[in-house]
Amino acid sequence: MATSIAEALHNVELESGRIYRCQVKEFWVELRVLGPATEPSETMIPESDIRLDAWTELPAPSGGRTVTLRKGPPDLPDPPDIPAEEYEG
Amino acid sequence: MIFATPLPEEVIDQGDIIDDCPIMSIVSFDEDRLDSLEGQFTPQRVIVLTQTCDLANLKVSRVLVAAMFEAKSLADEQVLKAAEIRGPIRASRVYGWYYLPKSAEQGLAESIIDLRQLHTVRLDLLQALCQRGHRRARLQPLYREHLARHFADTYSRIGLPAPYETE
Repeated sequence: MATSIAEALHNVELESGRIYRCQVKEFWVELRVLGPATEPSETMIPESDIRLDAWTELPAPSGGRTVTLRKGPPDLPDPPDIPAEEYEG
Repeated sequence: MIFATPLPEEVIDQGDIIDDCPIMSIVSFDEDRLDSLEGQFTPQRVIVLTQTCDLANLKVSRVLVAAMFEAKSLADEQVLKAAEIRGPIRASRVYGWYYLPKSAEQGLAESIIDLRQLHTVRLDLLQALCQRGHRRARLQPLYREHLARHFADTYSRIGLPAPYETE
C-alpha cells in the first residue's frame, strides 16, 4: 500500500528551519522544514540558483617519476606593465 | 562550437587543453632538512586559465593551469557519483569544479576541471608541448569566459560562519 509523504512524516519530530537529509532506497532525500507560518511560494529561491561547496578532493596526480628537489632561488614576478604617467605627480 | 583544434604553431591561449603537462608535487619531506625534498612530476592534462590579453601581449612567462580529469574515471574510482557529475557539477553549481562535455572530434571525454588544483607552468614549456602535438583542443569564447567566471566565483566567494537566522 502506498503511503503519502505527509503520512510518512506524521510521527517524525520536525524542527522549524532545519534541513534533513537521508537515504531512502537508492535515493538521497532532502527535507526542508519551513515552519507553520511559511507557505511555500513561487518566489522562494529556486534550487538551481544555490551554489554548493565541493564535498571531496579530487585525486592528485599519481604515478609520476620521483626526483630529489634541491633548494634554489625564488622565481621573480614578471615585470608589470605600468603606464609612465603613474610615475608622475 | 564549444571546442576548436588549433594548429601546433599557434600561440598559447586561454582555454587551451594540453596533454602530458609535467605537474610537480612534493612526495615526502624531512621537516628538519627542508633544503632537500622528494618530489615527483606527473604528466597530466591541463587547461590554461591565464587570460588571453596577458598571453597575447607576452606579459607573462608563467601560465596558470588547472588539472583536468575524465569524469568517468572519477566515477569509476567512486570519487564522484555519476548523478553528481550530471547534476550540480554539469550545471556549474559547485564551486571549484567545472564540467566540460565530450567531443568526439577532439577525442575528449566528459571532463571535470579541478579549479582547486592549480599550477603555474613555464610558457615556453607549454609552447614546446603544443608544437609537439600535445594540445588536444581549445575551449572557444563564451565557454572559456564561462569557465573564467566560475574560476573567479570560486576564489571571490565569501563564506559566512553560519547562515543568517530567519524567523
